[in-house]
Amino acid sequence: MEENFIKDLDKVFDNRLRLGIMGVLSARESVSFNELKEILLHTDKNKEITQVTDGNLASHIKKLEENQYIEIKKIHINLKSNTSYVMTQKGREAFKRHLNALARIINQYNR
Amino acid sequence: MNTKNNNPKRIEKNREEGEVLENNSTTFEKIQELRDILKIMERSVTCVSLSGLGGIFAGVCALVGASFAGYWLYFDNNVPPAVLQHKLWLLAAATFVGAFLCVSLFSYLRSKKLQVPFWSSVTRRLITHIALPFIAGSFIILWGLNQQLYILLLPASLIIYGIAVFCGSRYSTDEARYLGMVEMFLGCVAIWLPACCGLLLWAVGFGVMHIVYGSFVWYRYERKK
Repeated sequence: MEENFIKDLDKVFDNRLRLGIMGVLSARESVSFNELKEILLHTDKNKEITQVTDGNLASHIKKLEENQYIEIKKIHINLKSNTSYVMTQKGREAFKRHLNALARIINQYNR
Repeated sequence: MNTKNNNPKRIEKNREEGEVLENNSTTFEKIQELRDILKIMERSVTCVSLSGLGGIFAGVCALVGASFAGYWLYFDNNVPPAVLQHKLWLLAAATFVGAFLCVSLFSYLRSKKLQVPFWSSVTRRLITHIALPFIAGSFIILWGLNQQLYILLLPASLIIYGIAVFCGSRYSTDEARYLGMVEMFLGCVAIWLPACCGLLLWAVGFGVMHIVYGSFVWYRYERKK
């Protein structure tokens, strides 16, 4: 009866901030760095997830990018480049798998 | 030699079971993790500071405004038409400003309480999505007033407001979407009714429906549990 879904958990999402970034991107088409920071900062008032700082956020974004879970989308408006982030198909699937695994782990011990 | 336990699959399974057992104590943590994610996803698309109390008081403003208008139009026959028109314009402006201030004030208080920024990117998106259809639609009303089609005013304002709320509800709660639908429906009905019924429906749409909407939102999200 004991199934386990630990192996379905994505190592990349071990970090709460990375998972948070994916959470924002899964709900929105594209998000700029500042919006991302604002949303995460104010959801995480008690500093439970992790310290949301510029450097911290940038390094976790880089990590997600290396795994091809998110992409940079550059838009040029009047010579001013505007960077925003979007989720890739791969990232969407990984995020879904991770959430499913989390939900199953919880359900397993609620029975 | 115990081949059974040396079976790589078996070892793997034991290891994983160990992890699962270890995890049993941290199931609470996983629940918290999932809860945080849902909260982040919600915060990314919902303007959480929009307050139900603001809706209720905006509804009260509309009811007061509609009662004055109804009284002046249908019961108080001693006022000359030119003065009446001026009074109605002032009343309309006062009602709009009053309702707007109520919503802003209570939403500001709620954002302070939730410790989220009042003027956030989501708030800006919400306001843009409401304001654009509203401004575009108000040109129809302006045209109607210019053509002296005063009868257009009440149904058109209901329909336009309904569309605006429906658009903005993308960045708010389900209740807002239903509010938008109801306003549109009332506006469509009001077109076919005589002007006095139009005013009544306007009072229902902007007054009663806002109070109902505000109460639902307050009960569901703001009530102290």
